[in-house]
Amino acid sequence: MRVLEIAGGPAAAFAGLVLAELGHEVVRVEPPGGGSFPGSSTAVLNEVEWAYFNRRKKSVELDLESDSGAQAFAKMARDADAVVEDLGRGMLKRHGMSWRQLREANRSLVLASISPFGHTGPKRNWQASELVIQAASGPVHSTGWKGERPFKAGGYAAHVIAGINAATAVLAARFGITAGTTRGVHLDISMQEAYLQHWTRHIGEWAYTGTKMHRERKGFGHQGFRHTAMASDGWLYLLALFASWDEIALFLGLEDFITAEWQDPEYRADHWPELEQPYHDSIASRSRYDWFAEASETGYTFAPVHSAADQFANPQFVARGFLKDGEVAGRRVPVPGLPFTWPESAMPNRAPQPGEDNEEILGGQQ
Amino acid sequence: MLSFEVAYSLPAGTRTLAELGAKVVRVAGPARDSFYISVVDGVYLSKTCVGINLKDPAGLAIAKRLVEKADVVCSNFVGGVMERLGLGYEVLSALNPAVIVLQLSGFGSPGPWSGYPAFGPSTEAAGGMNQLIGEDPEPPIRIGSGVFSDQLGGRFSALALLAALEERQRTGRGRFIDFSMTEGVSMLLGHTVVGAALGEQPERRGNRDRDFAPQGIYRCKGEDDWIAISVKDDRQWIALCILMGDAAPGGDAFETVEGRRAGQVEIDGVIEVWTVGFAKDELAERLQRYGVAAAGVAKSRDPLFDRHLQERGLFKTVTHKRPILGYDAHPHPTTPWFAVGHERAELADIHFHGADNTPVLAEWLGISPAEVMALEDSGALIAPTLVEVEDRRTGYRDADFGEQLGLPKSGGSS
Repeated sequence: MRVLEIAGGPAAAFAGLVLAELGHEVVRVEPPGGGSFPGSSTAVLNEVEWAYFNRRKKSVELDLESDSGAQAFAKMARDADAVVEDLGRGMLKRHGMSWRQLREANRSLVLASISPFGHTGPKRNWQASELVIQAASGPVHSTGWKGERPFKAGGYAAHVIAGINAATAVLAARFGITAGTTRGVHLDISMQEAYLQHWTRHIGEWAYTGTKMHRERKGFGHQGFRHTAMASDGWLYLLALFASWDEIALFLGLEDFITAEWQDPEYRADHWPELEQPYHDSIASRSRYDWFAEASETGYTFAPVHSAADQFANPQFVARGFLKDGEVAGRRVPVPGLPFTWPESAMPNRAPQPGEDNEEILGGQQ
Repeated sequence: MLSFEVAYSLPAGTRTLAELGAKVVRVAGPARDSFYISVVDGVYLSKTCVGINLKDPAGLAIAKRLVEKADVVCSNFVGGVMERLGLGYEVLSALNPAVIVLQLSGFGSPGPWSGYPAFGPSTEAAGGMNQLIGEDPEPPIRIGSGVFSDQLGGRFSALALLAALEERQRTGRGRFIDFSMTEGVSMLLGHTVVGAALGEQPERRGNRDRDFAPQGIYRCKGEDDWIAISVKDDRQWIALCILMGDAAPGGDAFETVEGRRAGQVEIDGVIEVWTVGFAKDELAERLQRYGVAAAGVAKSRDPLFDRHLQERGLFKTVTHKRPILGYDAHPHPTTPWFAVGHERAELADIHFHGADNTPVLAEWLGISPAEVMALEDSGALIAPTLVEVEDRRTGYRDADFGEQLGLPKSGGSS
C-alpha cells in the first residue's frame, strides 16, 4: 500500500509511522524547507520527537501553491492507496486538495482526516491542544487527588491514539476496497472521540448506575493503601484487586496490622499515619523487581514504575527485542517499535531528510 | 473471528472489528466473569457467544473444529495458557494453515515476565506512563481510568489484525502475532525513550506545555468543575486578555511566549480568580468564540449530554433482550470514526455465556440442536446462562441518572 502523509502535527505523523512500521510505503509530503504544514497546530514537535514520529518514511518536498507542485501532488494521489492528514477542517481544500478533487483523481482512494473534534458538529472549528482534547474526552477528571487539580496524561497520548485509529481505519477501508465491498471513502476521525474510548467504562457506569468517578484520596488511594511507593531501587506500583487486607498485609510483612479493624478501608484511611511508616519501610526493604516477581507468583499485579531511561534495561523488552536500533539526530539509539511481533520494515529506522525521495517519486517533475 | 477473551483489552479491539463487519464469536469458559464492568463498558457488544469447557476433551475438540473454520483466532490470557490448553500456535496453524493468531497479554510472550499476571494499570506503570503524570517531586500518578491501557491494547489489536488480514488478502498466508500491553504504552511514549537515550530527562510538567503558555486546568463554578485552557500564540493571548478585561494579567512581559512561560505561576493565579466565576462549558464556549483553545474538563456523565457528540452520532442506543439493572436500553459510544456520507454502525446487545451455542455450531460446523444439547448436558459446552447483572457500586451517585438520560424503564415506562 502506498500512503501519502500530510501532517500538521503528531496525529497524522503517528498514523504514518505505524503504517510504515507495518511495511507499507509512506511518503511524507512536506512544504518547501521541510516540516509540517500549517494547519490546526495542536502540538509542536521538537527535533527528537520529530525524528521518532517520522521514521521509516519517504519524504517529498512540494510547493502545493505552485502549479507544478499541485500537478505533482495530483499525480501522486492517482498512484496512492490512501492519504492521511490532520490539517484541520477545510485546510486540504485551501491547498487545492479537497476530497472532491482527490476522488476525481482516484476513485478508490481512502482519505483519512484526523481533527480535534471531527469535521461536523458545533465544535468542528474549535481550537485545541493535547491538554484540551484530553480534557474534553475524559480520563483527566479522575486523574490526580481528591480536592486537588486534575492532571493530564503524559506525552501526546490523544494525538497518538487518534493516529492509531486513523491507521486502523485506513487498513479497514483498504481491506474492503480490495475485497470489492466498498469504494474510495473519506474517513472523519475525531481525536476527542478516539480518546473518549479510553474512559468508556466510566461513561458506562454513569449511564447504567449513575455512579460518578472521582479522584482518589491522596495518600492511600482506592485500595486503602498507597499504590505507589519507593522500593530500594525505584518506584513500585502495588495493585492487588482481589486480595483481602489480611493477605496483602501478610505479603508485605505487616503482620502487626492484621486485626479486624485494619480490614476496614475507612479505618485504614483514618489511621493511615500509624501505618504509613511501617508500610514504606517494608516496601523500601527490597528492590522493585524482587517485589514484582514475588507478587506475580502470588497472583498480585504489582509492577515497576518505569521511567523512560529505565526501559533500556527492561529485561522483558530486551528478551522480546522491542527496542530497535535506530538513528535520531545523527546518533544510534534504541527506539520502541511496534508493540506486537511483526517483520521489521525494510526501510531505514530514521526520519528522511525533507525531499530525500523527490527524484525517486517525482522523477522529472518539480 | 474466534476470540478466547476476557474483559477488557482484547474485547475492546474485537468489538471494533465487529463494528466494522467481522463476525466475532466470543468463546466463554466456565469461569465467572466480572459482568457488571463488562456490561457497562460495552466491550462484549455486537458479538455472539459460545460457551466451551476447554478442559473437557469433547469441548476442546469443538474448539479445534471452530478454529478450522476461522479467519482469526485471538486470546488474552497470561502467556502459556493457550499452549497448556492445547491451543498453541503450532496446533492452530496445523489445523488451519492460513489462520491469523493474535495473543495479547500484559507483558507479552516470550520473555521472563511472560507468565506474570497484569491489569491495565500495572502495564501503564511498567510502560512509563505514571512517571510522566503530575509534577516533581510528587510520586508518580496513575491515570484515573482503570481501562486506559486496556483500550490501547484493544486499539493496537484491531490494527494488528487488520494489517494481518490485509496482508493475507495479498499473500494468502496467515501469521502469528504476540502483543504486549506494556509495549503499547511504551510506543505511545516512544519519543521520551528516544529522548532519554540522547540524555534528555523527560520533564513532569503537570498540565503545562513546553511550547504553549499559559496552559493549565483552572477551577470553575460548580462542584469539582474545571476548565482546560491552552494559549497557543500571541494572538490567542491577546484574545484571552480582551475577554478577561480588567481581570487580565497586566504587564508587557507577557506579550511574548517566553515572558508568559517565565510568569506562568503569576498568570495561572490571575486566570483562576477569573475562571472560578464561570460555569466550565459556558466559559469554554466564550473562549472558543474568541479563538482560544479551551474545553470543560469532562466528567463521566458529560459526553452523554454533549450536543456536539450527539450531532455526530457517537452514541448508539443498545436495546437489551432482557432489562439490565432496571432499564430496557442504554447508550454506548461507537467507533470514533465514520465514512463521510455513511451512518455509523448500530451496536447489538451483549450475548451472555453460551447464548449462541446452537446457531454458531450449526452455521460453522453443521452440528444439530440435539447434538448441542447433548454436549451441554455432558459439560463439554456451557449451556446458555441467564446472567443477572449485579450493581456492585456504592456511593457517589446521581440517583436520577435514568431520568436525566430518559432511559426506558423495564416494564414500559420511561
